[in-house]
Amino acid sequence: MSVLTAAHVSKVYQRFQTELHRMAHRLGGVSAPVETFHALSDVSFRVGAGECIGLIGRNGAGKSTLLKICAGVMAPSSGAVERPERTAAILELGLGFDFDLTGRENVMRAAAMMGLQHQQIADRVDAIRDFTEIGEAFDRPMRTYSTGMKMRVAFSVVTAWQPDVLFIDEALSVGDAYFQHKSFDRLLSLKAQGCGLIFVSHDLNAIKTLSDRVLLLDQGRIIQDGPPEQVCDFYNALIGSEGADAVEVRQGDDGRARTQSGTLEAQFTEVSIRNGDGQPAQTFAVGERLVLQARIELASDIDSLVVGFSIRDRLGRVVFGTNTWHTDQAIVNAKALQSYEIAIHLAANFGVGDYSVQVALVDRDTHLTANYQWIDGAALFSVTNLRQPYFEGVSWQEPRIEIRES
Amino acid sequence: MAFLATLLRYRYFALLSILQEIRGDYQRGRIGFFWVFMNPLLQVLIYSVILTNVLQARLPGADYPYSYSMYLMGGILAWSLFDGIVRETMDVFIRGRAIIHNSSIPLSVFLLVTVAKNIALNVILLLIMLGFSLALGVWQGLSFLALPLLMGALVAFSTAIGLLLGLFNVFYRDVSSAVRAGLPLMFWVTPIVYPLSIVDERVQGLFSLNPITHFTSAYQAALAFGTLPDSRPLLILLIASLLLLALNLLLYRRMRSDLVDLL
Repeated sequence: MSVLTAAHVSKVYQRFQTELHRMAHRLGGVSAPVETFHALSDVSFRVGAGECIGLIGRNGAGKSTLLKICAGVMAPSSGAVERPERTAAILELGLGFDFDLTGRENVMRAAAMMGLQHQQIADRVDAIRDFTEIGEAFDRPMRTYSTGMKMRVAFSVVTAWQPDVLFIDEALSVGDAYFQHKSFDRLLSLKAQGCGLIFVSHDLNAIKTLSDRVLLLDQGRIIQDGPPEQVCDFYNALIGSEGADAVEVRQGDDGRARTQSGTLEAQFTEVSIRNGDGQPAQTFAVGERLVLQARIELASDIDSLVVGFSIRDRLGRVVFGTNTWHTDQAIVNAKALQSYEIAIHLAANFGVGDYSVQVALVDRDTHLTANYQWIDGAALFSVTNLRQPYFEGVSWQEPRIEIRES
Repeated sequence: MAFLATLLRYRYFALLSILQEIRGDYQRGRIGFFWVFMNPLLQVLIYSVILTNVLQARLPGADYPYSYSMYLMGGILAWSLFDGIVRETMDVFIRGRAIIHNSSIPLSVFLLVTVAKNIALNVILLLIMLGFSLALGVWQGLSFLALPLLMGALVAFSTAIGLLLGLFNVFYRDVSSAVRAGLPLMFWVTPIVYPLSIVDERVQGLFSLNPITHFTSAYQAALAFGTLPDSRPLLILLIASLLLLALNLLLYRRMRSDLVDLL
């Protein structure tokens, strides 16, 4: 069952010589626009009950516009959105709060904006205050609030009534870690009760943690629609390359998608995972030695060559990663046709589970200035617990627990 | 029907907005609500004192004590309703910007809030003025019962004008400034402080081209002269206002998506 359907949604912005020309155009079509900008082109997708969709993309890709159209705040130029009656949204930080009013008054107003009546709101306003945990400040004018406090109020009010669909634009990353956890928990419980969620974020970890599916927008089109890890990998590759053309997705033997991108002035000819004896291996015991071995060849001269890697868990969250820029081992003045052997020695201090390795060849600490090659899912390994006492989590610690009678 | 359903859904928002707007206008003062009515009342007081006592002016056709004050009250009551609605509906979209970008509440709800707030304030002002006139011992019969009808027509007229200006204002922000500058001028070319009869007879015809004159004189008839107003021009104006409102609706439908984009 889907709670929201967007069908062939497009949004065109037109610029006219002056706004009077725009009016003339609307009224009789006398003057033509001097510039037309397609913010969204033919976007279609569905959101199921209890499904969480993450929207990612570069600045100006059309994420916020799409969210506003889905929320019914903006009208599409063509196409249609079918949405349920009960929706809630944080579209701009602050929900249109009036900072002269108190937190409580703004909550009343924001809830009324969602179509709720006096009694319904009065019944729940104290619960909202408790959720914000801002205490006395709730009854003080909002202009005395910090950004984080405003965010707490906004989040608490839009999630106070079980909506059928919730829209959130970039608000999740505002505020402290404590409230972030609390709000994630609330979102998960809304989801469990069937609330569809669409949110925009630049925080890929938030996207991976919450989303069931991710849409990647580029220049107003959905260019990827799939599982979070795969789409986020593609996005990472995309922001490191010029356009979507240079990115290639290949289905690996194991069914996992491997995304690779880059300009290929330098590339990996081999990436493998080996055990402490130098033998190729796939399964490691907790704490066992692990070597990530790679071979690189250069197609042209490169002033500064940095090798980077990261190890990610099943959900695509980075467990550990670094590069030779940070370790002060960048290769300088590398010549064309030169090749290098790299061995990265690690210990498999990870929790039980499957991990994938991502490798990259770049010129400095990020892949945004030059991206020679970037491979997601370059190698896989799994960790089992053979020797250690049972533990949970993604990282292994050697705990020393002291218990004394007193 | 869809509009009624919308109103029903957002009725509490509308009520809350009206209250918050009234309070917000004068929020910082301790007796804030009082100030809302001080301006028009002081106007009546000042003109009454200066013109009646200092200049010994008499109101032609109504030779009773305080007749001039009653005349002023009628004109100012009508004018403040017109002035308030035009000023605020003109800015309704721009002021509602933050909310428009955060919720799917239709713009019509904001319009309704603005108009309702002005009506509420005007009714209270009317009651205060009636109270004053009773205290002064002025009783002009039951002609004031015509006021609700007059008010209805004046609201339709003012809203139609304000909304049209408001739509233009989104595209061309100078409209609002121009109207703000023009309104005081309008006040003085409308017979509010002075009776139409003191104007040279040759230009009196020009004054009747000003539509607000018909409303002010109807109010003045009801309040100061105890007569029923001339209904023909008012009916014409009412029909014209309703047509203009319909035209506004059409314009609004055409430009709706631009409105949100431009705000």
